Amino acid sequence: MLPEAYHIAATAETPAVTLDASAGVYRIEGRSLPENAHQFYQPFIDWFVQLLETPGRQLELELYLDYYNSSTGRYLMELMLALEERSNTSNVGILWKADADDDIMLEKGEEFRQLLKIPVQVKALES
Amino acid sequence: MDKLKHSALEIYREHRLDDMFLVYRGFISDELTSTFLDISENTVVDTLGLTKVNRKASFLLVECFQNMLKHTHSERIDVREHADALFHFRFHPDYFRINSINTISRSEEAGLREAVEEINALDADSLKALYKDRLVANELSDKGGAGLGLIEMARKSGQKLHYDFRPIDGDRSAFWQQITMAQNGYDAALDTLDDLERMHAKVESEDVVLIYKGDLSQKAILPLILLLEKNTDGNALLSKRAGITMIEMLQNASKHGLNRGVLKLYRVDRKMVIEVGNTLELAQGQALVERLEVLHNMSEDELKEAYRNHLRNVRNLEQQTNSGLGLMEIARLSGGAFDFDLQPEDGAGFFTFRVTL
Repeated sequence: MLPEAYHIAATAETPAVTLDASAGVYRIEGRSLPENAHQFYQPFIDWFVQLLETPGRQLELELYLDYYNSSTGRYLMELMLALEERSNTSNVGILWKADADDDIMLEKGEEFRQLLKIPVQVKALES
Repeated sequence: MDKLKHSALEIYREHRLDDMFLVYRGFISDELTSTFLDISENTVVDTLGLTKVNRKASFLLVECFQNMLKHTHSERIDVREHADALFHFRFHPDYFRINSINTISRSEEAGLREAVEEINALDADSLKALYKDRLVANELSDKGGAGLGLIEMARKSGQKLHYDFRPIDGDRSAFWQQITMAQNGYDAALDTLDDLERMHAKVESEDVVLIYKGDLSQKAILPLILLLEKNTDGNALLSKRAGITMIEMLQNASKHGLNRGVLKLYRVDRKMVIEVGNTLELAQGQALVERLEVLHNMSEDELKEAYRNHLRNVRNLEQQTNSGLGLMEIARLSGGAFDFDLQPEDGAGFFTFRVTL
């Protein structure tokens, strides 16, 4: 059984989140500055863990962040590690998007690509 | 840390009694009305309570700022965005004060002086009558508003408007203005513009963009980020680096501190300097100093490696800590151009952190 979808709008300090297994959409987009990133991100980590209990799934998590604080960085890593741990039974990957002139976010994407064993595609978006 | 003329600690001491103090010297536009209102409301709601006086303060703030925007001289007359004004407000136990300095056309000076003098000559009942007359008669100047803004400022503050005009050049004057809402028996009639003179001299000499003293919780941080973003000269990369750095510094202060502190943004040699100071337990301050000393001695590659190791090992961290990821982020984004200081203050410590971008 698929976990219930998340469709959360962006706020001044948290990104828009769409996690919808039936539609095949997994996206986090915007700005992420919550003081308590655990409270915001842990439910999404749990969501993916539940989804990937069923082996043989295929998913690409799309991340397009304008900027984020270190607390978010920590939980993004936790989320990606949770996907990595289940990559032997499911086909998982990350699509990291950043504007072509955004050196900071492009570098962050590259760092995750080097740290993780699952594929991380870093895509520079031309305006 | 180099001794600054007007450091975060000096600002904190000078404004010890103020629940909130803000001076802004940068680009102004319509959208900043809600930014300043958010900053004021955070103090009013959380610190001072929702009394009638405090609600009036927020109203007055909006009137003053909008009035300033309306009368600011600009070459770019088709956009409501004007450079290099000064806007200041503070919540002192005895009063709420707003100051503004903005550029006007010399041709407007006589009309504005007359309007202010007319308003200052009236008592409360006469002001009320004038307000109604203007509203009904719809005598609009080419700036709009029929002087209603100035009348409302006088009515809401219950005080005369303190003002001055200072020539800049053949086309322009600077309009200096001060509104005070007094309480606890404070006599605002005795006020002068001396404090504004001193503040103006300091912020000009140090090329200050923003000084803020008050709450440093998450709610306070967001409008302050917007003020920073408005003043990065259209440089998107600087805006991002400065924004992330400032968030990390303020969230660090909020996490380790006693939730009140100082933020100062200023320019030195075309670089943006972010200075954050806050009170905290001495032991916490000492731990911060030790961590920063280690980071300060690392090369760029060592920092990169340390950051990646921490990230890779997040599973070993306790839930509520990032174990220095934020400080590492600051060190990386600044390229090591940061310094810090811990001083005893009020039986605890005052930690100052300064980053140059």
